[in-house]
Amino acid sequence: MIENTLKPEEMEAFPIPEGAVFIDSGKGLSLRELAISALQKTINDRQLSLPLGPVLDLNNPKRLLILNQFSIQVVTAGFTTDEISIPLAHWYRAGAAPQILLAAQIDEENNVVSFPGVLTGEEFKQLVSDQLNNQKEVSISVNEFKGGVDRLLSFVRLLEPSAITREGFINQADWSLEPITNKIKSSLSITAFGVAAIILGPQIFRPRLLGGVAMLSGNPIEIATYTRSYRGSVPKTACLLSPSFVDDKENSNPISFLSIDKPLIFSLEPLNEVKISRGGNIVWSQSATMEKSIQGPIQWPIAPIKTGEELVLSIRPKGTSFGEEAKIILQANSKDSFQKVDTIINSLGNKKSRWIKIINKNLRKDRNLALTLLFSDESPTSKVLDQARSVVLKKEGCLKVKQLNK
Amino acid sequence: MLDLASNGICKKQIKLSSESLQEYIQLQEISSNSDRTLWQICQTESESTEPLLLLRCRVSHPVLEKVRVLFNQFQDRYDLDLKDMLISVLDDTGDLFLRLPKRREDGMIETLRRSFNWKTLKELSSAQIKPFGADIIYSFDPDLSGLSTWAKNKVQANTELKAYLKSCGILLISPWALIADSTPTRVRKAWERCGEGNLVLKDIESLHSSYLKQYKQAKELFKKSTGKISGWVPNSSFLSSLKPPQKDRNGLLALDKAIRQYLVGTSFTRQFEEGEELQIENPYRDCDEGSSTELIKLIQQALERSAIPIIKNLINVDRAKWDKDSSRKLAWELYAQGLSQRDIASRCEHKQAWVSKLLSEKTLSEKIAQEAAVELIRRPEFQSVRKDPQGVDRMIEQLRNYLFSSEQEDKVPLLRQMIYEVLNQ
Repeated sequence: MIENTLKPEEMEAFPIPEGAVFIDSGKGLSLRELAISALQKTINDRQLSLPLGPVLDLNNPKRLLILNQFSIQVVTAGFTTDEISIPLAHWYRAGAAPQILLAAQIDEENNVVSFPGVLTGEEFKQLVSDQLNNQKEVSISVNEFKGGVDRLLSFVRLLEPSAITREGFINQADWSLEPITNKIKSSLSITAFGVAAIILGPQIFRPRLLGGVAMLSGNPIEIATYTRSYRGSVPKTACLLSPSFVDDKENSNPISFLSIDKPLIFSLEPLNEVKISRGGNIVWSQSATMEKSIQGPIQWPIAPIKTGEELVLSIRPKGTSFGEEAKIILQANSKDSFQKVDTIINSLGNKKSRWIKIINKNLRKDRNLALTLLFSDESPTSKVLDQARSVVLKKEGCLKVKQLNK
Repeated sequence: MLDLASNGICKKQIKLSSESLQEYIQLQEISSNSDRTLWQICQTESESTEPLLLLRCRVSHPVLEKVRVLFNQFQDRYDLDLKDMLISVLDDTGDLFLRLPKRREDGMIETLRRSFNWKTLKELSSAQIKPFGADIIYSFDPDLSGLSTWAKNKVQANTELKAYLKSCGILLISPWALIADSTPTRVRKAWERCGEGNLVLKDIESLHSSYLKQYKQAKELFKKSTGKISGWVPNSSFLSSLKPPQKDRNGLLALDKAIRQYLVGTSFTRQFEEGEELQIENPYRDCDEGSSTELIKLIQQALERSAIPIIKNLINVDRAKWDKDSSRKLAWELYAQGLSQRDIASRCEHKQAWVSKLLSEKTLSEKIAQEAAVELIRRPEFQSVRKDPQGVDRMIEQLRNYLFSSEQEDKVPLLRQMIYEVLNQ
């Protein structure tokens, strides 16, 4: 009487992420109580003396937490959830809004708490700014929260409390993407300058290939859609690491100025389709199958690009419908600033240090060249290059702090 | 009946004396109907042991099947022992008698030998009903699902198995919690891709939406009435309150199955198996010429000052376990020598997840980097980072990289050097 029940594989159980906190409590604690207990346990285990309040009203779900003078909103969800709902009442209180959002995923049956990470007020506002319509709450993907509980502790230990604004969603009616973009761009440039001078400045940090590739992030690009979307919906985006591109005021599509004839195509998110067109005709395409989407780097698949030539690269990310695609114009530079990849590879030979040096040098200067070389089949066997590739391959999508280029 | 023996899982042949039962099982295929009939016979012939024994044999198969699936899915990465997993769920030895402890008037405990039948089970509290197979059968409600599914769901909720898996780094999540955790988007995608059964997408979306509304309330009521956090399962009244109303749990279980199939391949990719991606050598030692050597020294000293007490503390806590398990010590030593987690796992005869859990590389490096950053940030050179959250992110990331990076291909990275130092103090 034995049954034979062969089935497709199911997710029978779920791995506990590193850093998850186990709470020893027989009491039926609420989700907030479990999250706070886990936070207290983490602070105690690390022997940190960080004041946590409000001391007499810690478990009141309506109150913000105050950790070392930073105001924190704790949001909780189930252990396997994909989205977290964030009550917005606090965010409409200008000057008293949370500075940090801390997400906690909780399995209350097993008393396990995992902190996927945090968002600063600024990061949160950028994420939801175009969805706000005076609603009471908003849902965002758990994946938006970064850095685990360590990022929270780093912020509250290292930053001055004034470093993160408490302004919340002031002048909500005035919110639009344009001013935020400008504001962020300017703050990013100051930040980038400061970071470059202070963190990257010391030689100890500067020349590492790992450091360089770790800091690479994809460029978000808005997807043109021909279907009607509901008001306030977030525009869909693709995330391209290579080729890099800039906005072109004269064109609706961004443009990638190429200094090499065989650039790497590398989306940080799985794709359903990739196409290359010349003069409106598709010259190459690749489509995902039901079983397998297109992932990772794609070596230039057709004949090398000629100087001055213009092609169009179209990508359709996983989860989008036919017609929903992002287009980038590939514009090859003129002869004096255009190189053949094969010529560069030949000149590098099999010397590891040369390869590493040229890739590292070009990570900032010419990312297309750096990544094309890093993922070239001709690259020499090197642990350093292997691990640099591994760092790039493990990147997950675009940093949300960046605004769309449009 | 399947039973756990010292040399593995064995199949026990049970001889029935009842001719009618023998005839029944020879004629009937396994089905929900035959299970239901046998389950009813158990109750009508409540003093007879054989119908119950027959069902006990029957449930041992889905129990083993469920545990095997779990084991097969995780054994490559986690240190799982099939026998340890089965010990609390495949514990029926096929006895015809139950041995029940009873406290005598003088305080001593005596063991009563009672016939293993439905009548005896009825006299016991739910906590007293053992073995696990008997619990499955006694709690079974044929109106809500088939016996196989019931047995597998009971395995999924088994407290001892859950505790064992938790200690190995895996969580068993019930179908009811998984459905409640899922957003409409996930449900739609999961059903479109993996849904099976009669329900169309529109019905599933409506079912899920009504489930979310009712679940929280039902769970709260359960907590209040039982004082327990786990163990809630949808009953008939809950099911009939859903839209569309459900007669049994099959619709919800089909949704759970679709979600689990959909999640295969997505959950594993998020795991941090090891920090190998950060263990990268720096071939640019020569490039440091002309840089602020004073500052480099300062950063290195800050990392060392922060790291040593943290590593000491971690290793001292672990040292207490080295007498019982010498492979833990070996793992630390091999790590300090520069071996990869994969190689350490192979040398220690454990799975990689065991090494990853033991070393907790990510947490360890985060702690050290944070402590070093706290020290460095007091210096004027780093003051402006205090106003810049992204600067903090980068500073921590770079300090972590420095711990994992060696200066030359053949040199051991700083973190491993310091572990070596602590191990040899």
